[in-house]
Amino acid sequence: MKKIWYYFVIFFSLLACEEAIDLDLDTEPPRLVIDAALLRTRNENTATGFENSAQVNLSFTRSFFSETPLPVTNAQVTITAINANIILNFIHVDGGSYALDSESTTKINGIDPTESFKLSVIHNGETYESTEKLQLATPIIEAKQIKNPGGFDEEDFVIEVTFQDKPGSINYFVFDFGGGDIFSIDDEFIEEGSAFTFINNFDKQVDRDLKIKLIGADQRFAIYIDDLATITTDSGGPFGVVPFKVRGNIVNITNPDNFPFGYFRVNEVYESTILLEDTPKFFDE
Amino acid sequence: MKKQLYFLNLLFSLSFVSIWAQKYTISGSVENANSQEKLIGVNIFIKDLNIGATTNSYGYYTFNVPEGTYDISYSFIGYETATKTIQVNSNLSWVTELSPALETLDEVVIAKTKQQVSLKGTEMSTNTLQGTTIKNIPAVLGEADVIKAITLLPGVSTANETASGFNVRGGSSDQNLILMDEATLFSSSHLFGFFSIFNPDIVKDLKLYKGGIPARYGGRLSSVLDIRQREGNKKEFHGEGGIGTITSRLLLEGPIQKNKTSFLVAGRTSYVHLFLPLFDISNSASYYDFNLKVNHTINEKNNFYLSSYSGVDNFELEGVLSNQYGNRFTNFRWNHVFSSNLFSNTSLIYADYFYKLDLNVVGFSWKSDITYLNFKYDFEHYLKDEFKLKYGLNLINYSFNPGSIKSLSDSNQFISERFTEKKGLEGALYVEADIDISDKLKISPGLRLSNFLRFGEPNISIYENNQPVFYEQNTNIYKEADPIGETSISRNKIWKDFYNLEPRIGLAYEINDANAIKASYQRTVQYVHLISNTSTPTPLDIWTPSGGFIEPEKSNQWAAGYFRDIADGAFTLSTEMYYKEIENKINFFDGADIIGNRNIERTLLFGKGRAYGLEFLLQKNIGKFQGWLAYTFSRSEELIAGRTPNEIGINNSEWFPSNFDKTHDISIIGNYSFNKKWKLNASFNFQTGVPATFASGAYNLASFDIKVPVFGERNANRLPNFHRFDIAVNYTPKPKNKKWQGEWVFSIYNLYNRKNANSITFERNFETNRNEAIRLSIFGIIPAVSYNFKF
Repeated sequence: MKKIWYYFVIFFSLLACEEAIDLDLDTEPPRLVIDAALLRTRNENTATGFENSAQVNLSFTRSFFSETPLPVTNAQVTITAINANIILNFIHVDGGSYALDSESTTKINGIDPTESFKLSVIHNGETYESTEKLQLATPIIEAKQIKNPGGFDEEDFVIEVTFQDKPGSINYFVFDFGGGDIFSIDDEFIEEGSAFTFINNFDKQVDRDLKIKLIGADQRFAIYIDDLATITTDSGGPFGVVPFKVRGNIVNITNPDNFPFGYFRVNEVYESTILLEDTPKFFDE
Repeated sequence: MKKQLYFLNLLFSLSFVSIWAQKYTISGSVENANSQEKLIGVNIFIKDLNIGATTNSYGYYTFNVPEGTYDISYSFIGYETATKTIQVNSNLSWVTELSPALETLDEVVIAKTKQQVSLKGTEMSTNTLQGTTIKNIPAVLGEADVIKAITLLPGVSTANETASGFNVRGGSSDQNLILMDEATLFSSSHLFGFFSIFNPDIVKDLKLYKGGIPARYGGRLSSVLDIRQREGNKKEFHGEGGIGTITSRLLLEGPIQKNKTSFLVAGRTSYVHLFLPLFDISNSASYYDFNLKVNHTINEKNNFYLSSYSGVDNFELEGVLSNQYGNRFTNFRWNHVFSSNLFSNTSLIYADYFYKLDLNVVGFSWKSDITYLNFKYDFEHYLKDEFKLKYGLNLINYSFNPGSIKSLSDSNQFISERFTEKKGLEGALYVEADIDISDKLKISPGLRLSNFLRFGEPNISIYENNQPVFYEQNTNIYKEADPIGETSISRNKIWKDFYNLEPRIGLAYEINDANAIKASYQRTVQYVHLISNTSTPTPLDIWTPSGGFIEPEKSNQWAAGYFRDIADGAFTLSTEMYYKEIENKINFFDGADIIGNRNIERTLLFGKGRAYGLEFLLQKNIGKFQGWLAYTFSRSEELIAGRTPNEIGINNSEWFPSNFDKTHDISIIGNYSFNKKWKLNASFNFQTGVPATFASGAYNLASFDIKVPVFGERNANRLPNFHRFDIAVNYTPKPKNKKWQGEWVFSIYNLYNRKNANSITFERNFETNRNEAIRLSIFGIIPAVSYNFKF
């Protein structure tokens, strides 16, 4: 729903003037950012039908205009499967990116939906923790590039994605179209268990593969994604939501006031890749 | 409570004080001689007795005078002053006609014409404007606008140039009671706030109460904007209109039955959308509005009025979405004069406000609306010249439909659904008195007893500890609570009821003929609320009534002022100070998803508000050069503390500036008449930039390939200062024939092309992938020509 205001902003831009300006901005003291994901991605070529992966990125916040990330390279990172009592150890690879050490890689053969996973990051004597369970997704039935039914011009096109809704109470899904184009969707108003089609406008860049990810989510993760989408797309404009700090699910248990940004997530992921064409076939029809 | 009851007793006991001296009642109404429309606010003055009065909202007045012969003068801005000599030896009643002054178009007036009256009354913190004044202020694209005009008064502002609504003394825009011919409006803007819905041609009189709100008004915290539409000419057929850059308008009026029944119809429509297809633009934004008024005089004692308004906005992005919203109301009114000192008005109003959005992209249609039926019965009772009473009752039956969804396509992938309708009944009884304690000291006490009944509805969520908002202690995040159950209450039963006493009082002390001091106190209560988490409200925002989860918002305001008449009325000066506090102010937690939320209570936090300020208004009322200088110094702050000491609240439970806190606000309006043909209007406005929330850092989330800005505390920063200079030249050619009078208005808005920031956003440039601060400025320099006519 929040995306609606996009369209109104388009209207305003007909009259208005948008300009990048110089602005002296205050910078908050650096805060730790933990971007941690334990993923079970659908891959029919593997024995289990899924491929598991784990990735953790650590950095500090920087000033708004700075383009230089501030990686954190000296943290101690683990993920513990609590019931199975398995500890996965991470080692720093490069530029704040942490990967499983060789021994741990062999340990994550299956991610059990009933298992609880605890992330632990120790940095500068402070411990950051979060515990999550696997969030299941649903298959993408079809993704295709189509002419924009509401296009401004002939060559405007969009992506139409159809997926199978899961029956049961409200389910949440997150879509990731890459390049920060993320949003959540819930099936509250969707006919129970039906195939659901929706359209995503996207930044037009052709002749490339577009990977679309459908990520399982709970309400909490869906809200987090919405919050990210809100403050990276439509905050502060004439009808913009008052911007705010987006807080994730990781707690600094040593010093709660020094909370981290970022999220620890354990998701099932379905992917679909399509080739974006400059003049898609449908224009010839 | 005891004190308030005592006060009520006092009021009623005073009303039975008998009248000793042998006095006669003289009364009547005042009309426009050309059209027989009743005139509001005419100053009537009896010099020999040094007493004065003004005609009420329906054009009536009353005096009690001893036997004798008196000169009674009637003066009203834009009209020739009339004097009548009357010999009083019995009760008398007559109709006085005033002829419009020839120079009507040239008058610029605001409030108080004859200071004898305004210095004496207890009324303060109010401003009146007339249609002609509004039309004279240079406006964006040459479109005269009521709301834009009142924001040039002290104590009134808007969050930005395109904000819908206006803010009075630091209050939010839903705290204004906007009345058009007594009907409450829920939205006052066209095109999301670019223009307001009031056609300047039909505005007869406009009065804005920023404080000292009389007890007869209620239901909103901060202000009352009372707009009266013209009634229509009872004598002859006339028309007027204008052709502008954005809209054209036409008004027709005339008698249906001469001297008895008149009609007035007026319409406006924007037509830019008609030309857009020429430029191959298939998107459009348009609006229209339509006013109708019928006035029927049965006899001197009975008048019937029918007024109706309908306005719709249309907004279309071809194939993507289409959006309509609008207001409608019909008011049927009966003015009845029981006797020369008892006057009544009965109103029955039906109104609705709707909002409709078809999202073709997603394939669903969304509709929400508010309808209400309002019954009002008001009395004005002139017991003595020193003691006048007003009392009455007001009942509003609301029905809020927060939204229904249905699928646009055949695929039916959306479930059609209607959110639970919310119903409530708002009632009020009031009494107010105008008491002259002495020649110099006047007091106007008032009391309003208001209540709100929220009726039952199905599927009301039950929350743990009755808290619809859940606080996650370890991450300090507020989020929507999961209900622990559900209950249903019959539609006929009351779910929650509220009763409130709202005392109001005004005091005035006249130091001498030219100086007066005044003070006022008001308590106001608001039972319906606009829930918005955007910097300025949008039409998508939902009005929600008080009920099981939302307490009424309450406010106290104290004001004091000094008023001065300089050089025998050539200049007037008013200085006021106020302090206002608000309880249960509705707010929301960070990232609350309000749009389309069926359980809006799960997003709300309640806080406090406080505002204080100093207002200064100097007016020049006569001469070739007229105008005003307004200066406001003010603060408006909010506090959203945690519900328990363990909660963080918003901004660490500390006071922070509200969205429309402006430290300094200066307006200078002037017009100079060179001769009968040429006139120059100019206005300058300076305002401290409004609070905003700026980025104070950034980080990358590699797993989503996204750059995330870090925002600081809510409203911790400010947009750059706002200033703008506008001019307009009016050219009135000598009429070729008596029937047609035309006027050209050449205007330039934002003469020095200041790029005022409407907002500053913080985003990533998709091409360079660098973070940028983007300033959005809406109106640059805009020249416009419009043509107005009368026949």
